[in-house]
Amino acid sequence: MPPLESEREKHWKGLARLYREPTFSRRRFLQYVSSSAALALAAGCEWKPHENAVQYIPLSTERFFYATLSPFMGFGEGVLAEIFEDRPIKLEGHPGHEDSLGAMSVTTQAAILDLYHPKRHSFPSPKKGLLALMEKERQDLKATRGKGALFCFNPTTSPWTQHLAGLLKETYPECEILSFSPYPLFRFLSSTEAVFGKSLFPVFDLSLCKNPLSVEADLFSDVPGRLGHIRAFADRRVSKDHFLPLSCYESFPTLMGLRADRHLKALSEKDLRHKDLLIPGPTLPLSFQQTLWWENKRKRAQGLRFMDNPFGVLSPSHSPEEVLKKAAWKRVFNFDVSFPEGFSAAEVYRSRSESKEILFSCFPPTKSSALALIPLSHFLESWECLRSSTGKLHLAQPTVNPLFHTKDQNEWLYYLIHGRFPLDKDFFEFLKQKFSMNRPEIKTALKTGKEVDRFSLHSLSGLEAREPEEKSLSIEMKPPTLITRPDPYVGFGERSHNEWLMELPRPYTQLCWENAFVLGPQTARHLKMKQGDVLKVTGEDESVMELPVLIRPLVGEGSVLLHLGFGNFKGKGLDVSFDVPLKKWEKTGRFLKPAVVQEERADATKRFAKDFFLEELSNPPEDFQKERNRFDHQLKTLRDSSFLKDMEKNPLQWAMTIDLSRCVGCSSCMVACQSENNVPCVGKEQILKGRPMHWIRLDHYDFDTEETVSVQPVPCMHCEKAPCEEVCPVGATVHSAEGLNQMVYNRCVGTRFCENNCPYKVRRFNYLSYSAHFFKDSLKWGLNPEVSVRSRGVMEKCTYCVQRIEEGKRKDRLREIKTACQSACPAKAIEFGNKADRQSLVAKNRKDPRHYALLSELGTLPRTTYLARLRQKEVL
Amino acid sequence: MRKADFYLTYGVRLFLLLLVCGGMLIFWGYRVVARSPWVTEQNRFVEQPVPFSHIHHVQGLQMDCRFCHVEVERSRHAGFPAASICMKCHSQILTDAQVLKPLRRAYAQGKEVAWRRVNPLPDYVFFNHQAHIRRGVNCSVCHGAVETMPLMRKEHVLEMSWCVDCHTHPDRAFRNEPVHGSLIVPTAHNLKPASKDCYACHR
Repeated sequence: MPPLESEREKHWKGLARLYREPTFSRRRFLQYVSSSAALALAAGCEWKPHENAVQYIPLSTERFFYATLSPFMGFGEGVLAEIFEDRPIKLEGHPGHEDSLGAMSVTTQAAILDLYHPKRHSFPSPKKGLLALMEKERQDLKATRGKGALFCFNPTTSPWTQHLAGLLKETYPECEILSFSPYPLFRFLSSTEAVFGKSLFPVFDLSLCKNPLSVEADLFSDVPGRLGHIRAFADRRVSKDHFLPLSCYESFPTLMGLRADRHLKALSEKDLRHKDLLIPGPTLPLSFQQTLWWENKRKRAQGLRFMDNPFGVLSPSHSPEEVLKKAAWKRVFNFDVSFPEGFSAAEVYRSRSESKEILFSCFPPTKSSALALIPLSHFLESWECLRSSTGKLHLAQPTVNPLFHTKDQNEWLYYLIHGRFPLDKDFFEFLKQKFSMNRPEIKTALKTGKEVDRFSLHSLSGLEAREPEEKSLSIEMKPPTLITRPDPYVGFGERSHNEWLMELPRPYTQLCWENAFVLGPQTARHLKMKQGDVLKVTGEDESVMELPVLIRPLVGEGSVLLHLGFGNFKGKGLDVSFDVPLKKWEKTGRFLKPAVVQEERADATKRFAKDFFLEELSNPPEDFQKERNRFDHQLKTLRDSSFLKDMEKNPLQWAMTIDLSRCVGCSSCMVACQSENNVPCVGKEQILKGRPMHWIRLDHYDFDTEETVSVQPVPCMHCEKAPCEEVCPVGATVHSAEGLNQMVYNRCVGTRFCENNCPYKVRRFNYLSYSAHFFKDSLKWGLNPEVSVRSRGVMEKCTYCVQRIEEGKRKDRLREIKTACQSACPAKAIEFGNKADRQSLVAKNRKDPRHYALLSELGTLPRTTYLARLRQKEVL
Repeated sequence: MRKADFYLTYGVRLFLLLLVCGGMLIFWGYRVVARSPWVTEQNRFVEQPVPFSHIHHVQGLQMDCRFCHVEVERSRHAGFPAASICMKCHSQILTDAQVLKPLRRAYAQGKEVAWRRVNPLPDYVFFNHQAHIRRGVNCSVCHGAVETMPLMRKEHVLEMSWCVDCHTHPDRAFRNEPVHGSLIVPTAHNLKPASKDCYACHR
């Protein structure tokens, strides 16, 4: 390249000229353009070296399933682990398990990411001499008969762990066993003990009651049996007979509360009179819970039964501080028990266990003073048996050999007792002794995932109850109050390493990756704050927290809501109450934009998530009827046009319907899709730029007058006349003969015309190489091999899980094809199938009076359509 | 017209014409080169760690494809023979042949022989062997007359247009193809045109 005129310049007009920025001339520009074109061309000419092909013979070349359990609050939810080439790649619901019913919860699905997570604790610390260290510990225990040793457990229903814990106490009689969980759920054991004389655990059944009232309760996300509750509720929201109205009284909007037809401002005797089931929330004060149990007993409430305390010797200790203060511990064995900020037990634990702790965990804490950190196996790698929410015992089996040669909690316990690790046959021997099962029975139980033992449940009429001395039907709260709840996804922070959960928008607040104070509009007005202003609150113990605020209409006046689990909570007193009184609150003047996926909320002129009252079911509102007719007319015109006639010849015409009456907005579909389709996480910065990656999203709409929220899942609509297809310059998005709007990644050049032309905004663009992290360490083992990993500069969107469609076609099982979101949905809201097949549920749903298409006025003729939500106008 | 003008006018026209022709020539040349066996490696024998002869095993010994490619009927991969499969016979036959040394070494170490792939497909193609075999597509339709190959070579280039041709007119592609082994024989029934949707192979 000859030197440019400007480069040859030897004399200048002033020093400023000499030191100025180099000019960018037209000539230089053309040089850059041509050289980059030439380099791009050269980059395209790759000479692929020969690939080597090394044979690997898996157990089965077809994918198959292992029935196992996923632990939740010490209970087990049934899962089927999909095994491909000897490793689990996806979790599916177990239809034969009553806590799953074929569906999945958000946290369970995300657990597959934990298995392959690069941050997983894979090596013990110190790295060498683990067995020697543990052998020495065992000898010490033996010599002292366990004196000065503390074992910390999470409460669990597992008879295997309970048996081992009992054996531990027998072998080392002077040791102390502490069972601790920060979750408020276990307070049910204390409140029932006060009323019924023994500690019981409630079993709710929404299919039996007529007019339930939820008091700060969330049966849909933080109580065992949550998926069963969602299914029972959804089944009773679709038709006039057995319609279940729901009322709630709550200060923190929960998943269940969002579905309520009526929000009570206060509890009066009159309100209670009409209700036939009162559901206490675990965070309520004990006296309040006792009153509600007593009221239920008086009403002989259907839909509420109790089981005997399933935690046995590992029932949560009544006063963990007392146990912790008891002695000067020489050694503390902590089996993955977290002591989060805010609990007095945590403080005592930290001060007394310093440098004496042996911590067993799956994910190491960021900083730890532990003597040794020992990695634990994932639940997909270990033997276990756990009870379901009604006390049925199921077996869990390993689905893969431990990836990092780890052992699980029971194996370490066994080691400390017997001096060797248990073999499979030791577990079977225990089952044989405890439940008198023989080998073939165990084999069948493992194969089918069927129950092996059950509790008999107590109905309310069969229980003796004592009227509580002090009854209370209100929570004393003087504003300002900070109302805290464990985060629905990351809990108290145990799952905060999981990116799928962190990026998943929280129900109602739509916030991801971080925490915020949630305020009601009145409070915000009072404080003169807008969304994103940083609020500073001071607790009564002078602890200070600063976070940006989010404003949401359903939040009451005088309270600040905060999810725990992000490490923001600085305060005390959570073991007494989750409502923490505040000394003062003030605006700081700083601004931090919260990472909310849906900034704009309701549109005043139009309802996208349609709903009507039960009374209107036989005669839907006029505008709804008009839109419906227009859609049918458009469809008919299209069918008559010559072009589409060829297309309709194909006997497979895929379509999806989403029933908004059933949908509770639990976000299960979003994680299922992410897991099935190798959807990457993009991080907070990209979310703030409005670049989320989820192929299916949940839109929330608030109402002006009524205190309810509409939730609408929006995947790709697979329009018959897709606006995206018309604008693609390279034909990367085209229609298939089966009615799918196909996205061909290897044709896409990334113009983003399609994204701009899509009225539903369901297309997602890879602005950066988000999927690069998939190839890091162990994460690549968890990818779905049937789906491409998209690279930078490529558009992507929902494919109706085309890999499952192709598999179904290959195996001639067309009616069994289910998309990932459909199979995960606990409410059965999503239905997918062949609309040309008149027997299919989709074809029937498309004829339902509640059926409508989103934005039908545009004439795009979507294949994904909705059934409007039903509500009850007046609830007593 | 002045001479200079003449040269200028026609010279520019000629230059533009040459430019267009040259451009077309370059594209045509690129196409020819890119599809020539020199680039696609069509019909070129590939050196293997063990010089395995299909002509000897298939034509000579009358072995079925599925004896070694065990997974072809039930998986998306056809599967390469594991060392243990080779050793079924070669633990008895040619036990000290020099050419089989890599095989014996791999088997002794519990490893596999790293065969070199002859018919690679790009990562964005989701080809399924099981689906094709079950519909009666013989191995030789895509892999050519393997039984006549002393060393394995690529007979068809496996370009997309070639796949789509067969999906559109399976009857044309199947004609005169040698059928060997005991795989399903294509009939008029299973020769209906296959899916030409993008999602059939790219997802």
